[in-house]
Amino acid sequence: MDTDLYDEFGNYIGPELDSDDEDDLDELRDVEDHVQDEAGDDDDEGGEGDAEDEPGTMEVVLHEDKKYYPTAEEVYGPEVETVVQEEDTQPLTEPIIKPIRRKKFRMMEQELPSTVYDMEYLADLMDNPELIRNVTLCGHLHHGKSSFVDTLVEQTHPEIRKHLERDLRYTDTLFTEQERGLSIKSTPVTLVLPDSKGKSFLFNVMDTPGHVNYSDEVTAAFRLSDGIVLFIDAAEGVMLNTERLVKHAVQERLAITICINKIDRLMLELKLPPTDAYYKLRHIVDEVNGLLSLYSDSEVGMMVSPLLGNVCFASSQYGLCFTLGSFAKLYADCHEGINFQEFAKRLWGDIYFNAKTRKFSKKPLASNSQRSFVEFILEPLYKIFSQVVGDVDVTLPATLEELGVHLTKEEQKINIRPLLRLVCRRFFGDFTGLVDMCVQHVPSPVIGAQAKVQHTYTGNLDNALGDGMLFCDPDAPLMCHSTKMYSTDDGVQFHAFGRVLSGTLAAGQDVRVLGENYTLEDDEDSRICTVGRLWVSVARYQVEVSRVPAGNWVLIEGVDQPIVKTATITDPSGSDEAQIFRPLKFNTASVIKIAVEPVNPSELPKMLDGLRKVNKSYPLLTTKVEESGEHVVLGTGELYLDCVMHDLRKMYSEIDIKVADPVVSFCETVVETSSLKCFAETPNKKNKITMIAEPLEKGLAEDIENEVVHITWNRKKLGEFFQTKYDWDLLAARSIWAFGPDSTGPNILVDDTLPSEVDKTLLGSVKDSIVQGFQWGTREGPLCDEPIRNVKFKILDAVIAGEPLHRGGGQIIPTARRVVYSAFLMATPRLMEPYYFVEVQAPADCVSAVYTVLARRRGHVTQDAPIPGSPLYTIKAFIPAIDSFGFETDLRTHTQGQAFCLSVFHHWQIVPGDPLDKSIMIRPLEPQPAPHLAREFMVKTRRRKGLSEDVSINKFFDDPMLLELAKQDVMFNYPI
Amino acid sequence: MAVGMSSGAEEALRREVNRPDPCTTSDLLPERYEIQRTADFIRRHRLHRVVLQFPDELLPDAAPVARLLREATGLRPLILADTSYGSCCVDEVSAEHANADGLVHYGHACLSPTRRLPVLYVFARRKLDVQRCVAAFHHLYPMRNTRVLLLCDLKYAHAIGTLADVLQTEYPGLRIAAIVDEMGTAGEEPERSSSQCCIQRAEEKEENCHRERIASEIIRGGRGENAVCEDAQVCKDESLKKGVMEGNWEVQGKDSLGGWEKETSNSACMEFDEKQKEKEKTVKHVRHVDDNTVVTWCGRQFILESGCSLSDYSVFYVGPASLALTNVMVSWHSCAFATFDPEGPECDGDVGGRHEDGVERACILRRRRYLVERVRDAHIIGIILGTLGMVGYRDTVARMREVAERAGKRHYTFAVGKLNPAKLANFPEIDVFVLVACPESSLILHLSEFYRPIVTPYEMEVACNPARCWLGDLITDFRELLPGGTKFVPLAERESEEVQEADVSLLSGCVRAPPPQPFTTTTNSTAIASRNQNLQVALADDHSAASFLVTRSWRGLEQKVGETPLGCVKEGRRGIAIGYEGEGVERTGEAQDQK
Repeated sequence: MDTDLYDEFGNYIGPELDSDDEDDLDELRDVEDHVQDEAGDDDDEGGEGDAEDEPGTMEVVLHEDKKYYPTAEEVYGPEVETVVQEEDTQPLTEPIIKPIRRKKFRMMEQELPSTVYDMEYLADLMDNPELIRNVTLCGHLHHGKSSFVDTLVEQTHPEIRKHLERDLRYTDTLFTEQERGLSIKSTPVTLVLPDSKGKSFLFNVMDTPGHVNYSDEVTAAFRLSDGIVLFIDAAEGVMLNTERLVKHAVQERLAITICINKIDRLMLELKLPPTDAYYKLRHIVDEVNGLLSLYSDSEVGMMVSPLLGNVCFASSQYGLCFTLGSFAKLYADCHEGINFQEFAKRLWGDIYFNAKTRKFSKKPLASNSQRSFVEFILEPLYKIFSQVVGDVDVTLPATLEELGVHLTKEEQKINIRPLLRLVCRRFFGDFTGLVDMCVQHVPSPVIGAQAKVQHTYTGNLDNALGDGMLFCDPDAPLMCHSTKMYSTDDGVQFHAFGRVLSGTLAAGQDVRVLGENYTLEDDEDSRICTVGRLWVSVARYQVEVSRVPAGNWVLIEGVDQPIVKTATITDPSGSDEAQIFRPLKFNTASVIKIAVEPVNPSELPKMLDGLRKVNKSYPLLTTKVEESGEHVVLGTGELYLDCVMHDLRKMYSEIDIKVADPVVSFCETVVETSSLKCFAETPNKKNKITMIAEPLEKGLAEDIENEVVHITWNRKKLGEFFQTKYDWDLLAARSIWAFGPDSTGPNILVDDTLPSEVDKTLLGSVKDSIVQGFQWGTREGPLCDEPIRNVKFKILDAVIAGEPLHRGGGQIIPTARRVVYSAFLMATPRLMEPYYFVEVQAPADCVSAVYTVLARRRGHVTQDAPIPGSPLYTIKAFIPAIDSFGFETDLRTHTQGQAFCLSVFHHWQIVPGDPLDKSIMIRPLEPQPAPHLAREFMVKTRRRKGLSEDVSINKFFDDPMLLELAKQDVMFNYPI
Repeated sequence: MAVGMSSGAEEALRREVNRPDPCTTSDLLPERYEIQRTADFIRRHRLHRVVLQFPDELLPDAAPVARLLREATGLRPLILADTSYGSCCVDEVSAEHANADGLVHYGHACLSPTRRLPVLYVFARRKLDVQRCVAAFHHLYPMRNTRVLLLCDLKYAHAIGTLADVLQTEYPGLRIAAIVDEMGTAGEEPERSSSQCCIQRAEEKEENCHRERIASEIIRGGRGENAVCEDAQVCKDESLKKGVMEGNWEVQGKDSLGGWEKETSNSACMEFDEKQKEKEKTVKHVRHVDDNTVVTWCGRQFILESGCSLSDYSVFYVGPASLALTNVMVSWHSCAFATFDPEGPECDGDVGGRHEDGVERACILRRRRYLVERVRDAHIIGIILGTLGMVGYRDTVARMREVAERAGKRHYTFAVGKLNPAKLANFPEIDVFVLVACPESSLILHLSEFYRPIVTPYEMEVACNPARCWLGDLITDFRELLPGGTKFVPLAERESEEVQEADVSLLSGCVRAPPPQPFTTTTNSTAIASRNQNLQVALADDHSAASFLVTRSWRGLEQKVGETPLGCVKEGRRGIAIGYEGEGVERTGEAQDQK
């Protein structure tokens, strides 16, 4: 090596090297090699071939043909693709061969955790419907349902413990639920729990979300349960969703028990004196009773009281739960000779204990004497709490000694919260109080079957099938009702979740799955499927079982394909009379609408697949293609849709999706009676139909929608309903032709013609066509193709051609629709928009800010009152759904995060202003004054749908009709 | 316009057609309606009975034009108004009813190839203010290197050459969509003849075929099932064709417009090889010749710069908003569009051209998505014949039937003439109609007036052929869908019955019923049925068509037995409604003339 060319560090410093030269050199060398090779070969001829990869012996191999390296095929064998790229097309961060990514969206146990009971025992209990309780835990947001279930899980699963200061949230299996800190899906948990006598019961508990947006999940859970435990935060009391749940449970005919949770807050947070705490608790019970009497029709039964045993008190954070009975039992356990049941009866209400006479009396002995509840329950509780919190070292050991609770030295040193938890846990033991309450007040599947089946089954019960269900008979023909679908961990498949009402469901069995549209007449919506595995679901793990007898909940594999929302699963053969269970009836509606579109149009099929899956996953979600071609997703609120979009983007389709600004559904209605009789002739001039439109009576639209009244009723019953409830005259009440746009649509078509003027038989012969035209018209109103609502169309006159040829559907249907439109347009048409009911909780100093925020969004306050026993105010208000987007964020911004709100769809309300007023100019990007809103909404909806800017009225009016209009000068605003 | 099937005759007379253009003054007539060229056409083809097909808006000029033609040729032409289908289509069937041997089509045309008669298109030209148009062009495309495709409404087609000459020098990327569905008959005309005709008579092919400039044009079936301007491979002689075509394209490709003028003002006639008929039923809208992409669309043809696709071009359309424009906009949904309406209001400073923002187009395309879903949900499909002349319509109908059958939908075929809501509402049990019609009339935009939606064959395929992946485009020309067409996709194999996925309807949210198994008759049923009181054995189940028909009010003509007085049997008229035997066709002709 020439040392001059290198510095002392070994770096080259000599003249620049020409790489080309080097190549040339190489080439030269190659050529030399060739020559040598050939020479060598010549020499070796006949000798041993020393190297296998030597090219053919005598050939002259050109440089470019010479092979230096083996090809990929030689190295790796056939079917290996070799990709040679000149430059990097892939960033370094991206691995060349990507690892297989396993999709996982739920937390699941890897294997079955150990439990205090034997799984075999659990499975055996499933055969005893009397020992089963199907209960839904529901309540307002953050009233402690999930953490209550956590304590139940902790009691039965020795290995599952919550981390310090962090909730376990065992039933929030989805990662999104954990991240958001609220339940999104209702989650079933099956546990074996002992009552206070030590008898074990199989508890099927459904933990439901408390947020009002997810009311649909609760509805699905209600359908499978026989009773509910309504959770109420002791500090907050009855809130918006509590009230709705009471109403809903009454409608669903479920047994109602309540659990007043978080009673620790009364002591530690609100620091109420025991007497005030008692008043507060009593106030909650009274409020619930008030709601119960408000919503239940029957006088009997519906009442909750600690004395009846259907109220329990709990603090899930500190692991305590008791009823009067279970607390009395604590006394009975350490004091001989107490009849705890009798004692329990004296622990609530205005009952006082006279220590001298050792008797209970209704009157206080002295002005400062305490009610028995305070004396025997609250004061001991306060004592434990205050001593653990305040005086761990001095008085606590003595007290604990007295209570028979022993703490080790280490345990005494832990922090206050865990210590309190430990003490309560040791003192109160398992939640037998809750078990007692449910066992006593929630019917077992056998007893509950009657109410359940009668309420949900559409078919006839006077047959073997009905008997099987009513008696919860495991040997009867199979009937299983599924209301929810849970997606697997990877979001590829779904498992149906349901309740076996009769018969026994076995793994691997063939079943017939009946969809929501199945009827005996139209059996299209039914499929034969083979059941895969069956599980009993315990939130994060599943216990596989081979058969599930009547009365139990079950998670079913393999039947998800034909199920959209709910389904009825029955035997594949024989049970021809099997009918379906009613589809779910929700207590809210999907009014928020977003339009979605894949960023890359070619991914549309993927998105559609994703849409189908989210549709299965969310009970109340509606996904559809609108006439404008937009794929819209309808949900109950912003949070709901946010979750839907998360699932759609991340779980089910993994593509980029564009979302349009949220809008709401609208309706079209009228506010007056048509200003003149509207008529139209059929194209052949042989028929003429005259109608007018007028608004429906208040409440009637809701009655039709809630199926209080059915069009399928016979004339007499239908007539009676309208005569008595809405004061219709006999003639009109008996001549109701149809509801529209469908059998539960909020519009009515009435035949108001007189037999003396109109040939009724002729009219009857075209009834179907007119009804079709009416339903077609009401489905898409003339203003902006949104459904018509709350309108009664009266046929006043009809000239119908005598020849059947001249009154075919082709003549009548489009004409009937035109008359519907013209009558509608003559009756002062208006738009309707959905309104939200909002409940805001805020401290007193934020109340004015809440008012401001509401006022800016066209909202108005209906009630504003302090929550008793707390520094917070509750503000109840209405706000248009279209203006509610971002309301929550806005509210928090204006109150520094101190206010909290929940909003839920409440009613439809007319948008101010005339949508057809052409004098209104809609300027872009400017907020419109109130009277312009209707016009703005209409124009913008029409634009979005690709309709012409204005309603062209002459499409719907005949020339003679227009002349008539001109005569009467009613056409002020209307464009002709 | 909308009249049902059972409307009276007086209704048709009283009906007001769309506001007609004011009559053309007589001195303008010969030029506007190209009387001379028409006369040449008639003479060349030795036609004896010529039908003049007028759209409603040109009807006021019909009589003068007919008179002028009679003066020019001595023939007595028939006027054909109230076309059976869209007025843009050549109504061959009506013409044949009148025993015509040639047809002159006036006004806007969709240039869809037809099959039988020699046809001459006269577009009723309008004056084009070239200066204004060029100004608008400059305004819209300030960048000189923009790739622009120049399209024009047919009535301005005569001026497109002039326009092209002006613009071509400035915009090297400009491409002109030449009207090819015709052969210039007026080679000596100073301006480019737009309204050229394409004709085919077997006798003439010899003299014409060897003309050296076969042109980028036309060819219209003289005889036999053909047409096909699209496919340049129409020549009888394979080699001749090739040479001619390639030569031609070369010229066009190299100096895009240098040779253009010569070529377009040219006529070419040729006859078809029987063997090629099959091929030519379908269209190849995009071909590749010598690296150049040749696009043919609705009677217009142009060559794209090599290496470019259609989506690289913006389209400049000369003409008012019309169905034709909408059609091209949705067909080329990836192109940017600008329009210039020569008859639009002239504002100060505003040259009149404007960029289309595509909102409307996006709306139209999106709406089709909804229609596709409707088709998917439909159980019964009605196939409507919207043409009886266009090449390939039978195959399309056959294919639609096959597609429907594969998807397990029942289908019926209807021929109802011009569509209107009343006619179609006579069939309320049909869920969706598929309209087999020319590209322009198959796009029905005011669907909300119809009781049931009407879709194009393409949408039908998208909905029912799982092998077809839909990317939000729209193909209005059904010939592209047929085997051999550019957009042809074979039907997917029937899925095995086991793995049929349940499909959720996006309209109702319900599970769609699986396609029923191919219908098998179970005739050998041995079940005993009880006889009812009327001694009928209950045969039909609830869903049979028969039971449905029983519930319908219209059960055909009423017999009224006993009510109508008896009479002797007389021999009635024979023939079809448009011209009974013995009624005399001449009389009809006279009537027309007098009118």
